[in-house]
Amino acid sequence: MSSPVPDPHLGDPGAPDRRASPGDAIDRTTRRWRGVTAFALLAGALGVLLSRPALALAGAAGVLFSAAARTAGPPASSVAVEREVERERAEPSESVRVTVTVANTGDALLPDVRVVDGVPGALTVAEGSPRHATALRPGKRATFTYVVRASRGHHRFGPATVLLRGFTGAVERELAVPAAAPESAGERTGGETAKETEEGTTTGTGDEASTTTTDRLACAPRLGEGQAVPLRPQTTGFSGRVTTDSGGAGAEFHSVRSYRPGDPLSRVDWARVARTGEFATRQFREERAATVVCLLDTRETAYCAPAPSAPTALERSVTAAGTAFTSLLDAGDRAGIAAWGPTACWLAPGMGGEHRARARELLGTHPAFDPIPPDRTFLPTIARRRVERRLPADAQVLLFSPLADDPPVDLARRLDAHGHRVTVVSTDPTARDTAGHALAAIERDRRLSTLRSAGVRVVDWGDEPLATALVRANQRWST
Amino acid sequence: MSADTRRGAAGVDEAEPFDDGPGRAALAIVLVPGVVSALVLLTGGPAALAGALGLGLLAVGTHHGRRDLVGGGGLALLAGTLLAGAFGAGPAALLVAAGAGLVAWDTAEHAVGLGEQVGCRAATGRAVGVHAAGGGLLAASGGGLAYVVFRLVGGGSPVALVLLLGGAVALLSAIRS
Repeated sequence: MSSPVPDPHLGDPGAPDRRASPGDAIDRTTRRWRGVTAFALLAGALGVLLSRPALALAGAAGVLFSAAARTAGPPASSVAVEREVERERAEPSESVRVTVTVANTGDALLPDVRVVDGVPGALTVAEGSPRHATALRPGKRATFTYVVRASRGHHRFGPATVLLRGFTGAVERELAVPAAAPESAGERTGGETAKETEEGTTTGTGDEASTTTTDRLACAPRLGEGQAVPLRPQTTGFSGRVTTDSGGAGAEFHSVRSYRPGDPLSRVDWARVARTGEFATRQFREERAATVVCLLDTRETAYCAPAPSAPTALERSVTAAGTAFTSLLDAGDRAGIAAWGPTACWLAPGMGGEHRARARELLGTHPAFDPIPPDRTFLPTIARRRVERRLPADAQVLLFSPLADDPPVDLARRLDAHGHRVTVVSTDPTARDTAGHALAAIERDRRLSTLRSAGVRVVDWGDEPLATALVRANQRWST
Repeated sequence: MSADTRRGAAGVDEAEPFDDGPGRAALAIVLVPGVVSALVLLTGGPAALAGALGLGLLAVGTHHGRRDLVGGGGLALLAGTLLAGAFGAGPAALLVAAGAGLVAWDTAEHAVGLGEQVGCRAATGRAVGVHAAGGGLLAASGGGLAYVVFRLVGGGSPVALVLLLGGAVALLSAIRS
């Protein structure tokens, strides 16, 4: 994030959108001494009218402050901010201490320095405050610390917002100061290399977890393990666990056909040979492995939640996709990950421990699954083509979407029409507390019905655990 | 859309709700000039009432972070000064009352502004203290100068009044242009 954190408590109430950016300071007059001149003149006038010179003298105090306020210029913007984030990688809900130091690098006294650190929007401050107010003599530094609770995502700290005022407070200067590394650490240039090493990290709990950074905090939760996702009978040539409709080697009886030379002796129906003398071969349902792509709806509408403090639909989708991914790999299927949204993300279907680690890293920290809604514009056709082009021909699709609007329905039907069996896992972001919310819930129900009638399987995932929703959906399909 | 409640991008998301009251330290600092102003006004007859009202409003406004109450308190202190002057208080007392009243209001308003922007969980005592000291220094030096001029010219003479008024108007107009 290059822009400072939009903070409702800062800035000009008349123009809340106008914020300082690095290198571009904003000066504004606070007009807080408005009316002091009126007091001075009133005192003078009363003094004249009542012939009391002492009153006119009292007015001098008003003139004094008014003059001081009017002659005040903006303070020098000689402030440097250093930040140290305790660790670069953290486990979910782990506490990470952030230390911020403000220094007066100029040679004039800064009587009023207010600092608000650029805490990433998705992080929660658990202890202390990311805000500080102080006065700084030349060369002096002030340090404050706070603790953030890590959550999934790759978080970038923004520049700290610094507000400077003179003694009278008549002029306020707003600065956005990018944080530098503390002098002792001196690893500012090591930023990019640190990023590269984190790509290959498998667990995030290794030694590099203790490295301090200036503006980054990454958190990739462990992929959940749980209920296997029921798959549809679209498979690859490899053997696996998805029961197909074609006869061959397997466990579940499928059919009997006449014997062909080369059929394995174990599958010859010897009872029939004994009874009739004809050779016949028993066929079983073949069990094959599937190729599944977990496609996550990451458009802005996926960032909806039933309540302001509730996890967003995207957050739950990512959890569900992680669980599905693990269970697919465990079952021997090939699984991949794709994002359908403004930012592209593609992990080709694969298997193995390294693949799983890469998926964890992607779901945890890839910008496509950022916990904050994207700024980039979503181009529907390009995003859809990007997904369609990369999908292997025999791949099934697990689409994770809250179905908060119509495009995902359209996407699911298109993919289905192109020969990919689609299962939609829809996290329910709706609330029923107001008429409008109830209407939106009904609209979503309608979308589910549309999908079901089009032959697309839908798992409607409300408040219950994902496993419960999957079992319920599976019962519905098998009856 | 029901699901219009979006998280994130709403600024600094804190576990505890943002408390915008100034801290306890700020209140103590505000009370010093406020009490000085109110004490001086005690000598001015009915102005004592306005002084007490102003002090109370300043204290309550600072404690609860209410800008309007603080403004009312400052106004009451200044009105008390005018009242005291109308009832014949001495020049030194009036100057001290006005100066201390302005410093008290300035500090209180500053503390409330700090509370709004930085919150009460951050340490603000130092910033408020430095601000109050600066304001107090300005009031003391400027007020002292005005008093000396007033005395030198001969307190109470119409010449002093005219000189002071003329000087003030000239200063104001010079700054305005």
